[in-house]
Amino acid sequence: MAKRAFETHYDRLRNNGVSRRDFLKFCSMTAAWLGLAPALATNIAHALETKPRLPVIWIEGLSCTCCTESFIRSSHPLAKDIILNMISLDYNDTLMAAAGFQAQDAFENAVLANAGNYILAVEGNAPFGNDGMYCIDGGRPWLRRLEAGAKHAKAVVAWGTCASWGCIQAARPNPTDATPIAHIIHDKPVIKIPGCPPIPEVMSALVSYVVTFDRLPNVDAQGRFAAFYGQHVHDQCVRRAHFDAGEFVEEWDDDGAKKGYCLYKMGCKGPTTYNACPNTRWNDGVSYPIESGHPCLGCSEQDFFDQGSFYSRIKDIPTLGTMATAEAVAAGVAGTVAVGVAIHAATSCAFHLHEKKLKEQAVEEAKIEAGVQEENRKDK
Amino acid sequence: MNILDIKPKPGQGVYVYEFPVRAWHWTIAACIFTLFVSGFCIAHPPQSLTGDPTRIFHFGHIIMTHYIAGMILAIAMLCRLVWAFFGNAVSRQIFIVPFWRKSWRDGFVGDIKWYLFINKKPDINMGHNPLAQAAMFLAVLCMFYMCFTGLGVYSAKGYSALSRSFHFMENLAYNLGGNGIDLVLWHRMGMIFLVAFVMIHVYMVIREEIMGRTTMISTMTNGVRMVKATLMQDWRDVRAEAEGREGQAK
Repeated sequence: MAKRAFETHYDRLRNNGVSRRDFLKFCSMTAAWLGLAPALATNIAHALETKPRLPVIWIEGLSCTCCTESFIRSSHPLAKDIILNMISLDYNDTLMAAAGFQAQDAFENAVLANAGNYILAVEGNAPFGNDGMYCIDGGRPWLRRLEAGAKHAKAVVAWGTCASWGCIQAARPNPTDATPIAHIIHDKPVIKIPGCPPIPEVMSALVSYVVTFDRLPNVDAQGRFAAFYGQHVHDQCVRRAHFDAGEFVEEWDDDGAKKGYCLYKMGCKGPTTYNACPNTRWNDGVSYPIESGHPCLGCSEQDFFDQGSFYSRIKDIPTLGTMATAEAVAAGVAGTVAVGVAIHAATSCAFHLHEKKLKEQAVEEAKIEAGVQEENRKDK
Repeated sequence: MNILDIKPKPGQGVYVYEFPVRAWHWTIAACIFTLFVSGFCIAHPPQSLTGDPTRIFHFGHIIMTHYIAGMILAIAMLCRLVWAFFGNAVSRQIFIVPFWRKSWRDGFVGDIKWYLFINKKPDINMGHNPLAQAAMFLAVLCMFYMCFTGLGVYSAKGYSALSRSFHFMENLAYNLGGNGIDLVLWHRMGMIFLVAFVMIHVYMVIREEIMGRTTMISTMTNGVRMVKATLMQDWRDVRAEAEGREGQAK
């Protein structure tokens, strides 16, 4: 291995015992995930071998650490190595040994050493309520750390639904005024990687992309990494054929559930959720929620915690101070209109018949009247 | 002369609904019925089937029916909008409600009184009566709303030029703090209005056909609005006529 002044991603992987074969497998896989031509896997490998590694500073605000937990829990040790080493964490509250003032120094040193060059991965979001007092880090509101970290960053990655959309802490009534990162950082590109937790491979793919092409990947209109969030879960789903066939799980543990039928009737949010779960899967490609028999919660979507039951696709809507499903409102409106129409129709019938009777009477009277006049004329 | 100002005598008719208007009406009527049924099936799928999904495409067909009917509806609405520039005055009524005209407002109040049984005799309108016109206007707005929300849900799956031009609907849902499922909810809310509209529309048309002074159903079939000869002679008219004769005789 040629000696270089800087460390590359490849150096780091080899030092941590990842074989070249696994490294190349990873490059091919990443090229496929990013939707690149197969030949470009070589470009990725070359870039990771020759270019300086891309440092990642990982900070955590108002969050549950599930993003980090999922990140370090790849079942396959080599995959874990690749992903963890790929992103070469320079600072991470959960994983590093340092604490207290040491940790504060580590953060400042990491920012200074890599100024303008690192990616700031933000897990969790910043509460604005009571001047940010709901999330204190090092004796100051965490918001200050976010601002300090973002100031010198190359790009900010909103890692997880908390950072991307607000997630559970921003669910109604949002007492701490938790605010997603894209609403706080405006002067740096913010790439959203939503999911609760998000898929770890997206991060290594992002780093590989930035190292290979020296630019940030395409994002959709909502700022999500387009390669991974360009399709609904529904459209990649392993159970999709059962959906199209009309084969559904009717209730838990029924015959359909055992046969692996579609979970649409059980409230699956797959048809409206953008994520790559069915393609990348979890725990080193073992499975993902729908494949394991549970409907998608739509965890990578904005406001997913406020969409009514996890087990119903029909959202609750505020109705006269209470919450009713859209179906209940529809039934109520249709019923009211039907009753109204029936009452009006009955009244109209009565009215019409009455008018008809009056008319007949009038015609009769007119005839008699006319007859009398005729007789009078004859008499004259 | 404006077609709306013609005052035909009893038994006479005026050609009000041109062919494109009638074709549009019955096309969207069929589409809306299909969309109601297939939409309900999508929200509440029929009982689960069993078998090899390679050979079954049951639910897929229901969804496809909904998509096709929805596309036809969207195209029909677009064509109808274009026709308003070329058609007669009646064809523009559902797009422009002249609430600033006193005569229109009086007609509107008169129609409400007629439906509340306060007025004993309805007005004769060659086009839509003002109340119906307002309702049609809202229904047309709702139809466009349904087209936009529906195409928003549909196009979220695609990246064609057509799909991309409707991605803004889903982004609107995101920007309002929700996600794609809100778009589905909005689509469903619009459906509630349309169900109510269709129920009232069908009832009112049948009622007017029986109790009103002009034809309704045949008008949407052959385009001619007739002023009924028999009902024009209301008993009040008969009495007034008789009294007039009496006066003459005296």
